[in-house]
Amino acid sequence: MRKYIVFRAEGRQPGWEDRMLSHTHSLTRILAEYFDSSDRPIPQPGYRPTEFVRVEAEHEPNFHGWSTHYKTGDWEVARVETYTPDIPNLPEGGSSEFGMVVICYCRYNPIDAALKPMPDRQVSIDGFGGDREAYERWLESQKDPQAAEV
Amino acid sequence: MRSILKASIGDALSWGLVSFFIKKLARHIDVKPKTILSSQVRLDAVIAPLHQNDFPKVVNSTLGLIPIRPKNPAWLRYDPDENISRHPATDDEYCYEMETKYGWTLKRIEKLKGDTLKADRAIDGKTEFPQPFHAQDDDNA
Repeated sequence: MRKYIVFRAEGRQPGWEDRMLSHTHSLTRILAEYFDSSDRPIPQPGYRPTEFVRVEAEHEPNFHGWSTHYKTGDWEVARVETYTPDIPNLPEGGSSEFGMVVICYCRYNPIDAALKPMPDRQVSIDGFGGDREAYERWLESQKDPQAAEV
Repeated sequence: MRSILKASIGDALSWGLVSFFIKKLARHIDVKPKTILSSQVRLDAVIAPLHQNDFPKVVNSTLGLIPIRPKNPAWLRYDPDENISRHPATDDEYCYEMETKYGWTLKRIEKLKGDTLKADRAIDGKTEFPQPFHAQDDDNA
């Protein structure tokens, strides 16, 4: 069952004025969202969503996206609410996109977590939507360091 | 009263001896900075007043002179319980596709600079491609 997990700040938590959706400039309490197709249990109180960090001095445009490091986050889940679709199997066939929506309300509780560097990426044909030709073209481009790009 | 006085004198003497030896020892310790930093900034002097979570600020405040290295024990302790894998894609759609296809937890999608691979997804855990879905040579990349 696929789960949409939203981590939200509880009320009266620090930094509210900096939490903004960049495309709309609307303030938000959303801290992070996970799309979880694993069969692992949903987060419980005490869980800390992963935080992604950018250390400017370490940022390499050809290697990193935005973040250079990650760590166990400073926000801690305080309570969890779950919602399930009214009709899991849609009338027109197929099933709803998510089998469960999980809202995790979080409290700011900073810890001394270690920063870990983002690992090397693993490129696969799936990243090209199964387009073998495009994938092989990309592999070929990597052999020539001049033409190589991410 | 006498016993209290005795104990106090004893403590004072012991502490004096300890201080004496510490001072003696200090003379034999090279306290000059021996650091990997090109700037010769005392690493401990920078770190001491700061919390590890202030790391980006530390780097900024030292104009990026402190390198972060995977083997730098001061900052990068290994937590075996949490790992991230990265899988780039040409479109964010394929990020979600892989998450559902392989039963992964997708924690984040970031924009990449490249012309071909434009989205970088962060997946929870050390991911492996289950063999049934996986063409033989796909993991050579």
